[in-house]
Amino acid sequence: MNDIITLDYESGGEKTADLIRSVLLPAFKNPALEALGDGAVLDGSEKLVFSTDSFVVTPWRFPGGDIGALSVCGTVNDLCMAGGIPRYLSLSFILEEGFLIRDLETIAASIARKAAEAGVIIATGDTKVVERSKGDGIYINTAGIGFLRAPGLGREQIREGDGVILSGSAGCHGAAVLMARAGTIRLMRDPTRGGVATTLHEFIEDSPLTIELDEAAIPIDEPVAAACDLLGLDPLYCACEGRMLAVAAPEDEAAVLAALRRTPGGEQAALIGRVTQSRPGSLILNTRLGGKRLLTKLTGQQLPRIC
Amino acid sequence: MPANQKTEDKKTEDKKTENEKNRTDTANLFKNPDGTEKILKRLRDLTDPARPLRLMEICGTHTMSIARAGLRGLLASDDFAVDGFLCPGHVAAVIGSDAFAFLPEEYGIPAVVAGFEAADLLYSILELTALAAAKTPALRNTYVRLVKPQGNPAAVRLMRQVLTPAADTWRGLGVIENGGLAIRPEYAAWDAARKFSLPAFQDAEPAGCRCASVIRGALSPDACPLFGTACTPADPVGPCMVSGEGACAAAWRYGPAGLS
Repeated sequence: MNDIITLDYESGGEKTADLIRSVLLPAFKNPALEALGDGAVLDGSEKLVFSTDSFVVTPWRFPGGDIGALSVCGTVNDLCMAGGIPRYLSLSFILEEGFLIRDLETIAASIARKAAEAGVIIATGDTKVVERSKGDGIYINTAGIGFLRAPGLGREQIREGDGVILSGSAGCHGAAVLMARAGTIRLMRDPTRGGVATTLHEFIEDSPLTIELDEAAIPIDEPVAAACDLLGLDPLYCACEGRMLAVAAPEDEAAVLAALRRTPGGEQAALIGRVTQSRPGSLILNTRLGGKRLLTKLTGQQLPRIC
Repeated sequence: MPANQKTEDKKTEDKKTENEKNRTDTANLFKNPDGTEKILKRLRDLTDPARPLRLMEICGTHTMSIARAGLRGLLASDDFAVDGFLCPGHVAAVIGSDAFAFLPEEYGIPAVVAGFEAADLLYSILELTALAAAKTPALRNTYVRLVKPQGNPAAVRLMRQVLTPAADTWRGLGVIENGGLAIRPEYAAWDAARKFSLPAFQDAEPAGCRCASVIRGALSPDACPLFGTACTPADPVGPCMVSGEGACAAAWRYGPAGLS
């Protein structure tokens, strides 16, 4: 097999079949995919959650993961936050001519590993090749289907007095744990673009409610704090994919926290704030110095400090 | 090793430790709620509500020349009403805190070089308020963990090598001689403005925008007719409504009552 992706892989002929047989099928082995039909035939006759996400991160390999792992975790997390137990993923590659097949194999292996961890199968997929310079190495789109386990989550469920909980890095597993305790959770979200602040702001904007955060209670890893301090970025606005923000009824927050902390990756889970009515529609940070800061939605990009 | 050599080494070592101690910011002492309370109390004691002090935070001015030329341009305006300058710490880390000494020396206006954390800013505001209230024209550096009087000579040398002072437009203030930087002719091949024939920067102030007066301390943000109506952080008309550092953006976000 050639070392790099060429436009021949786009033809749908011998090369395409070769790539599927030698790289993709071995990585994602399952009957639904192996049937190689135009679509997968799946079990399931209950309420579904359905989500999709595209991944264009560059470089494709970064500290702590790669685009493959991200493409599984991102969609799986979205399904979890919508109250579903993820089951099936579709996987669509857009490859730039010249991309190394060895790298594609690495990415496929990491997709397979994350899928196994999350209990999902790659049920259907697609590969397209674009001409050199028309892409950025590799783009991935995944769509996912899950079975609904926690119906009725939503911002309209939030009440004054509720606790705001950040999961640590246990995002999806944490959500699965919480879904087993349905009724106590008002809302779950993965704080991706715009970070914790923007996500929480969306919980209460245009509502009579306020969220007040306790700066000292928010778990921020030392390297993140140091990098943000140096660059003048606010960690509360940095994308925080793979974690979970949950709002829980006050009588259940202790149990929710305990459950999260028992989940691998959830040891750092913390109660970071509370829902009040002190300033309708606002997200307020009670700072370490005893002051208050209004956190608004991120507009545009965060700018590093220049002066 | 001779004994006196050892004593010398010890002396150098002690000197080093002492320097380190001096380089620890006083601002660090206030990184707790009690410290904040102390600062706020001292600020209340220092100021008279009937006669508010106007402090100006300077941003940019990335060379000595811009700092001098630009600020001189600003100070020359008739309605200039600022009692003290909070000077940019990271600019001073390059050009040195001494670059701002002309403010107290020539204009009699106190200046404090500040860091950017909440405690840095609070402490710097206290220092500046104390100087302004006592009408003491002096320069203080509260960001000593990063800023030296002479700055970073290697960086300054590099800037001088590639860039040269030139006339530039300041928003609301018009063209200021030596108020900006141009790429030196030797490096013209890398000058994007020449290479791509970029049009000159247009300084047409948007109709009704009063940023120029806000910047000079002559107008409070909420007195501008566009404030909060045509001009908001999501859709800013003038530079004062842009970013967390803009005077109008802060005034709009927190409102006259603030958050307390």
